[in-house]
Amino acid sequence: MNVKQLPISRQGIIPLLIAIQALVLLPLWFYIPVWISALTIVLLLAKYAMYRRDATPPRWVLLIVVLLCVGGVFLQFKTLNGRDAGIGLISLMYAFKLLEARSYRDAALILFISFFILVTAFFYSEAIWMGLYLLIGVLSILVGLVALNSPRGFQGLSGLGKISGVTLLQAIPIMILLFLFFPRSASPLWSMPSDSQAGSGIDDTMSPGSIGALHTFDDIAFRVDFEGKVPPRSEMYWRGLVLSRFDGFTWFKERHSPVRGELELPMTPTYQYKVQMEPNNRNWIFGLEELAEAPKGAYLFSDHTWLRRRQITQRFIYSAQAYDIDFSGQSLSENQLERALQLPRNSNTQTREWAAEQRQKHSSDEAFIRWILSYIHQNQYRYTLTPRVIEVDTIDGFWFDTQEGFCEHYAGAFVYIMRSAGIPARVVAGYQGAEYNPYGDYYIVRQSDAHAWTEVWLEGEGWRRIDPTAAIHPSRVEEDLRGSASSRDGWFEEFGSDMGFDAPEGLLQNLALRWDAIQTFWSETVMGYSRDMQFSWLRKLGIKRHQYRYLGYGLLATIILAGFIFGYLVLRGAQKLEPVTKHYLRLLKKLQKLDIPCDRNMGPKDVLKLTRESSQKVYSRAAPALKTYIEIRYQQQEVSADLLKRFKQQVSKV
Amino acid sequence: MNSSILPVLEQLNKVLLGKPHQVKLAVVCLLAKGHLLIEDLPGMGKTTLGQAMAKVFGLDFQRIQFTSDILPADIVGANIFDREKSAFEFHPGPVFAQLVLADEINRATPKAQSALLEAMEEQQVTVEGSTYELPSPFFVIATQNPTHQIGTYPLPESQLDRFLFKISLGYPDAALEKVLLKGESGRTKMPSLQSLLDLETLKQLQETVAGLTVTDHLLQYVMDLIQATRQSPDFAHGLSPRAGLAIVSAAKAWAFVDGRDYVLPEDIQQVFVASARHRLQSIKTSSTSTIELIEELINDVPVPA
Repeated sequence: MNVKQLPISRQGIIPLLIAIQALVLLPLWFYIPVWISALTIVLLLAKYAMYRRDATPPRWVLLIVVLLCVGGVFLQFKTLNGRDAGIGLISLMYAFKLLEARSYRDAALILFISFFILVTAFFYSEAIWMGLYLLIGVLSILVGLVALNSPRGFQGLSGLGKISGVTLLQAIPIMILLFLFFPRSASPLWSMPSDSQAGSGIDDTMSPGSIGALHTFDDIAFRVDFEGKVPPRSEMYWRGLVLSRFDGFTWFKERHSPVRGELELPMTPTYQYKVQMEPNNRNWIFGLEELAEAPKGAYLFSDHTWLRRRQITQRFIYSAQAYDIDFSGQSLSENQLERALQLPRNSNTQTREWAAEQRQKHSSDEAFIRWILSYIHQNQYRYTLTPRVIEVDTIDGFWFDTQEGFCEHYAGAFVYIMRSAGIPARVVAGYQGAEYNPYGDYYIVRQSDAHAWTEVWLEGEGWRRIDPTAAIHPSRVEEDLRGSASSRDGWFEEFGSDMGFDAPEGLLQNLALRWDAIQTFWSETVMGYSRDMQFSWLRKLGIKRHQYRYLGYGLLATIILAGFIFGYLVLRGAQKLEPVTKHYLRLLKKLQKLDIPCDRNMGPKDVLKLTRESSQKVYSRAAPALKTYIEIRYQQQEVSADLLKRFKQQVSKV
Repeated sequence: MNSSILPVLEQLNKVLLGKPHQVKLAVVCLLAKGHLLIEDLPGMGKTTLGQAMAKVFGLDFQRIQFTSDILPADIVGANIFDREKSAFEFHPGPVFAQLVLADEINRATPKAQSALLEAMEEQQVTVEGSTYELPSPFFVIATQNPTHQIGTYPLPESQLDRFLFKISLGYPDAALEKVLLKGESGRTKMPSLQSLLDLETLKQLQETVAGLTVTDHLLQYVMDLIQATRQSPDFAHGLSPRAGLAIVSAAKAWAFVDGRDYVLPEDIQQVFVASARHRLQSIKTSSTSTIELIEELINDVPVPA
């Protein structure tokens, strides 16, 4: 009988395989279509029922059901290709394979495929808990492999778990070696289809309520690691987009061309930082004001924003430098001026007339701006996430009537007023503030930190950042928004009052920060270990870029060689333990060289007999050694040192 | 060769010509306190061997011919009403002997078979609630026809396990067969056999055999062999621990007959086929017999150095 067709005769293997499959499929059940998840569960239960009754399904039934399932997957995804369809299909096939498994070969195949299917869970989540879970999965598959090949089969975890655990531990050095040195491809091996469709984040348009809606998301937008100096949190304006076209309701981003070459502006570097951006399926990336040269893989635009070439579908890490830029020597071109003063016709006329009128009362643009800010501060303007809805002329309604809103209301109205008064202005969207994580020494910027502020053009000074939201009187900030303002650290204090926002020091908050620090390490250092990181680390070891591709071959060769050496040493080590064995094997080898056809399956007495029959000469020399060997091995339980010494000498004489 | 056993073997070999290995195994089986199963065609000298052994070892001898209508009471005995005493009295069956030859055991029904096999295992019989001790030593030589013959009830595996050895005698070679046909051996010589050992000596020998030295190193070899049977794809099941015990005690007896007080791997090899062949079941469809598979296995397993 062929080994391949050996039945699975080992005890408890089928239930163990069912358990392993459930463990492997568990993370996928949360992501693949419900009917596929349900079907795989049904298949596993069916296998268990059949195992209890010692039955196997007829082949033709299986074939029909499998074909139906393939059809179902095709109907669901309209393809059999790609991540979701592929994983759905392979999960089903995996469960079907177990259903029909009856031979040793089937069981081994299922276990090896398990390793592959286990890893597909990483397609859906690269989180640290997933990594830990998959480790448990690997361990259980190893238990399955050991049980399958053990004569006792599966009778509990104790013995098998130990073997598998030790095996896994032995693999750790190889894993680390491969992780550090194995060549990485420049782009991902397969491009991941977008999955976080609902990924919250700032849009390239702004209308009343659009940023306010983000405030309910506590998701992390990005993390920032400063090198050296850190700006105060009230100064952390993370610039993302400039919105300058207004249609009376919504603010739009203008099309800009990227800046070629270097910015020819006097600037002084201020802060050096590294950003780790969560995927948001958009192109824009954020930088600390003011932005100048774009990080790798992104462009700088003339409105001092950055855009990335590709959408951010995976975590994106970039380093950047913030500057103080002196715009004073600059002037706006005709085109730029027109854009910065654009106003929609026939809307919000009340505000427009009011602004023009008020401007007349002030001597300079600057004085007018200051007056508007103090107007917001002193009048009943309130900061709330739930303003009343205004149907038409949103700015008129907000400015004169409801007087309540969120940052987009203030930024939008402020720019509108500025433009009405003839002052070039625009809206800037991004994030403001950050939460400090003392355990990882970095800052966390969340979606709830999304913000909109403004820039006005002052002749002779250039663009100046004005944040009208910060001018609201602290007493009119909605109660539950004060907590969220904590990451803005004294943000509403510009006008002098002490709000006393302290970061909550609760246990839960601490734990959350610690957990985030671990996760950041995981995603930045482990998952984010890219080709570039590998290069810089290899350079420290003196490996140059052009030698890179030989690294893989070299590494594989080293591991295979190390395996052989290790195996050889283990085999030799086992023999070394027993000097008697070593000498006896030496004796047998000598006899074989003297043409005595002795073999390992012969007992010593037979060897003795054979020697006597073959050659009297050899017999006279070898007999004492063989007799001593018999004495050592079969006549006494304990071996004395004397006897051992004698045996060694006798063997040497042969 | 052991001085007290050598004449025994010589005597037996005179009766059963040309089968020194089988004769030695039979003697070893007795010394190891086991029971012997001989499988062969009718007329190969099975009964002759049994009778000769009884005579040489000085044991009282009973022969039970198994037939398809034999009943347990025919083997173990029965309670019979004694009219004078007005009471039932136990009349022991033929099993109450030191050497019992159970001829053609697989021609009887399982019920009768198990009556004998129970007696072998327990060394006692129970009839209607009363237990009767069997004599000691108690040695059963069972013969059976090859199982493919008509009118046989194969012994179940669990009962085969009760026999220490299963041997076959086989046809004698041509020259010896001629001697046999001349009538110069076999049963004609039976009356001239003398009892060479008394009961006490036999018991003493059995005790000595049980006390022989077995080193851990040797046990390792036995375990390797047993493990090989369990992992081999050729057999339905591997050898049981009871089989292991049987092999060790048989090897001790073999070593004793060879005149040693310690056991060598060679002793294991000599008794391994006889003790394993009825306990292993070949699942190979090809023509290789179980014996050949076991011999292959012995060749494949190295002796621990």
